[in-house]
Amino acid sequence: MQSILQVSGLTKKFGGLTANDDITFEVNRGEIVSIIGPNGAGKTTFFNCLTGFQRITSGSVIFEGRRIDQLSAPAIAKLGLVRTFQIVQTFAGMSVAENVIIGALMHTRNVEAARKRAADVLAFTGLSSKKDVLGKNLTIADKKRLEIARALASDPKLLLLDECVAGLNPNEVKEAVELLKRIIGAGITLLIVEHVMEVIMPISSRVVVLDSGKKIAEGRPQEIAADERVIKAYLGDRYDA
Amino acid sequence: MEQLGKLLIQMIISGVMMGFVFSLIAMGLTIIWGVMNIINFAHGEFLMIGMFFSFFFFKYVSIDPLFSLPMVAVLLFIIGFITYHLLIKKVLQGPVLAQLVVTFGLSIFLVNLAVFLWSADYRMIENPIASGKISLAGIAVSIPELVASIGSMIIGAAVYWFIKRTKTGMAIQAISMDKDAAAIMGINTDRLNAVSFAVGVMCVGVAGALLSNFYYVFPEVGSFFGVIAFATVALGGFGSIEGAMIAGVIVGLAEIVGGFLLAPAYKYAIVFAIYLAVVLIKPTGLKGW
Amino acid sequence: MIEKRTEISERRRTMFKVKERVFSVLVFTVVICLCAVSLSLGQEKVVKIGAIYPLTGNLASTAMSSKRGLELAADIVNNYYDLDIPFARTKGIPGLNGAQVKIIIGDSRGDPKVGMGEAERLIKSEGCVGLVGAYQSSVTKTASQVAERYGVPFLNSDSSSYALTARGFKWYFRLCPSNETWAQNLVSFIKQVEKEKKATIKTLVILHEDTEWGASSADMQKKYFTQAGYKVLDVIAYPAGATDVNSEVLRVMKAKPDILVMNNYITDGILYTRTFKTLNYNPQHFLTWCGCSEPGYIPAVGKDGNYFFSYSEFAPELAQKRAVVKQIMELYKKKYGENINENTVRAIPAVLLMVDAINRAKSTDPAKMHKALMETDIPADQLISPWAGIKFDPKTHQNIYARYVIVQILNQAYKCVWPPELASAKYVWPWPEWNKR
Ligand SMILES: Nc1ncnc2c1ncn2[C@@H]1O[C@H](COP(=O)(O)OP(=O)(O)OP(=O)(O)O)[C@@H](O)[C@H]1O
Ligand SMILES: [Mg+2]
Repeated sequence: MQSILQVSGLTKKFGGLTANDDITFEVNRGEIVSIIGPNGAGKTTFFNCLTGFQRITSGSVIFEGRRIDQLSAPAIAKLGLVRTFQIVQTFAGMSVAENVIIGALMHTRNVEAARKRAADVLAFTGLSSKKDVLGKNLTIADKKRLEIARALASDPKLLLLDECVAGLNPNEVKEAVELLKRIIGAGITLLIVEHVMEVIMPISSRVVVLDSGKKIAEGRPQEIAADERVIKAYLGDRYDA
Repeated sequence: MEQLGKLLIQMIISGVMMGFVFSLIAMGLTIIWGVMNIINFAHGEFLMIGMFFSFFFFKYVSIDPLFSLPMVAVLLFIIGFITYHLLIKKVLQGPVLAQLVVTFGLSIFLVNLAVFLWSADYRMIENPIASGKISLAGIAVSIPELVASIGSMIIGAAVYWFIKRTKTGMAIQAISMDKDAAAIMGINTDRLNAVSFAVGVMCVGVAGALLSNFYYVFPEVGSFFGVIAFATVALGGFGSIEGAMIAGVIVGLAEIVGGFLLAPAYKYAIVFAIYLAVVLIKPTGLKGW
Repeated sequence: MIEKRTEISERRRTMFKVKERVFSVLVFTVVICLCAVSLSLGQEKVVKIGAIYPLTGNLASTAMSSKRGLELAADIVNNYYDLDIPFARTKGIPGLNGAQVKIIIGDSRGDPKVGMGEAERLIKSEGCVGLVGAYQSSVTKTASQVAERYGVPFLNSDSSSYALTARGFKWYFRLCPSNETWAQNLVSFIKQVEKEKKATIKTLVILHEDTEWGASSADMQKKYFTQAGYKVLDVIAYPAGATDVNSEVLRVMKAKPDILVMNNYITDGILYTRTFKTLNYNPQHFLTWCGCSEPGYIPAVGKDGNYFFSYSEFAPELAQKRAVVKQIMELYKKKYGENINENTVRAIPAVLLMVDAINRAKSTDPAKMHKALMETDIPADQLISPWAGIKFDPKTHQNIYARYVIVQILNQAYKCVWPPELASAKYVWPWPEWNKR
């Protein structure tokens, strides 16, 4: 399998606090990798470092054979590494369709072409019926869905999803999982941060566990679920694989 | 009673006409605010520069303000672009106070430069093509004001189209709504800042050129229009183009109709009262998010 | 930690720099003061008159004209000129052994606080025996308070707020007319129009910009027109510097007054002219105050400015009646290469009166000067202003002979039409309607 993302020795310090401590791992094309860890483990910071929102303190990030840890956020996005935010950030004053068009415009100047692509993505993500609703008027579930749609419209090679089912009710979670499965079906490589085990365990090919900024384990879901350190640090008795 | 009705129609027409000009001025300001989160205190001064250019084209090369309009627009776009690179860009990463001070200082500098270069005199474009008035059933419509309002509408619509229907425009909108989200959509803020500033300055400069058909030109002319523009932008919602367009017309109407029905001394207080009322009900302004 | 320490030492260093700078400025000032004192000790026969004007700011060009008036007046006193005006044919002040006059100018920047500071400086550090100025009523108000405190005369010939004389100050004297005078002059003029033109004038509307100046002028107009039996239908205030005056004009049109009395600046004056024309508003006539008399007005509105009545404090027509006016106008033109203007003319009498008071008092002792000022009675023919003379009201110290002239714009030029003895043209009444011109 061909690797798409190689992270080595990634460290991020905020003053005295080391939010990411010497993290090393790879993501292969077509894989679904999940990152788990308790609150404050450094998962969002890790995403920020990968996507150019924060400068890493040391280490390196290589995406499709190219070093990207010094590039700006828009430049990284243009290479095909696109994320969503833990706290949703849709374009509040734009309609759902316009939001997605912005994503589709990443690789074209042609607004009409972007509009067509957006329509396809809206259908794919099940947002067609809400295409004229303003971003700010959506429910949380739909906002999260819209963020994913917007990212998909930009045709990403690797999609980073930061807690895309947090705060949803069981019904909405079910719908979100459906969407994830369709995305996987479309062959997009995913890197997911998630707390809800029911969601990630069945779909992940591999799981990476962070605790206090360090990678403490990595492996297939079943292995992780059985790992002593992981259970101690994070899972407790909550989940029985 | 019939007379009062006529007066009212007269006022509504005048108010709406002025309103469109206010809209264009406010659009420029709101674009700059939306994209850079900078309050452009020098906005009125760019209006003044637009007026002076228009006046000079008329005086020295005998080009009517209507025909020099495209040139004034281009010149102001360039001035905006240069101003961004020389000044605004330098303070964008700096403290908020520096950002406030830089446009404020620019405004003072431009007024004084104008006084120095062109003196504090009042100038008027005499007998431009757009002059005189149309009278219909006792209602008078001043042609230069009509031209200014139609011109503002056309330019306003063009800018609106640019913002809503082109890639650059949509990117500008995206930045003004959410900078992080714009960044993950591959939108390069640095490059678009310059374009937005230039477009904003062009809007207000064009409004100045249109005003010069019937308004006197002098170095401090910008201050009052500037203040109205701030109220308009706040009323419409910071950063919202549609809001600025609608609020401009409301301000124009409120100023004239409100001034007539209550007391002229309070006409700007009325504008402000409407703003307060709107903000109490909807803190983000009419169309803010 | 290290960062912090360097930051602190950095701050200390800049603080030290500031202190150092303040100190050197102090030393510098002391040295300058010492020099000034020794200089003034050396030259005994110089009388200093302080003048406060807004030399910088948006009134700078106006203040420049005033400054030239001051210089011209001092020059006339100090040197020999063949002019029919007191102190011209002598050198210096005769009553004070030919002492020379020196004008020391303080820049108020148009700010009442700065004006106050300058007054203090002129009296205390410069040793001026009296003050003149300060153009804006607001600055005159504070600067004359300082003069009052130190007990030196303040001669004011260019501030019109009626409130200034209402304070009953001992040391403040106003040579020029006030906005109260203007209201009285307007009523006299309208009475004359009624007689001469057999016009029926019963009602008026007063329109004014809403600063202190406009509001107090409107008050006076309301008072005097009402006293004279006219009906004031409405007093409309509007924001100074408005961008649009449609609502104001429409309100006036609704009230339908015989005459419209306006108190405005130049910017709104231009706007009103345009709006009157667009809305085709034609009352019996317009009486305006200030805006239409500013130098920029006629160039800006062209022919549309014709027929408006306005005010002036200088009537070039006087040149035909009084030799001295003609002589001064020529002298000024020779010296500065341009025509004398109203602001220059306004500045001259204050200096000449100060000199006159010293001359009569034979001293610069404040009490003696005060007595001389109270006894002032200068006839009209010694003045270049269109006043009927100078004599102060014993209580308010307002020059009771002060008056304005009323001008009408005819053929894009100001023509004096009142008082009758100065009139140089027949006035047009009623107002010629816009679409019949
Ligand atoms: N900009 C910042 N400055 C300083 N400290 C930060 C910053 N961002 C994050 N941190 C700290 O870094 C640590 C990791 O935070 P991060 O948000 O990455 O955790 P997380 O794993 O995403 O947590 P959660 O599950 O709650 O989202 C936390 O202690 C946090 O307080
Ligand atoms: Mg997080």
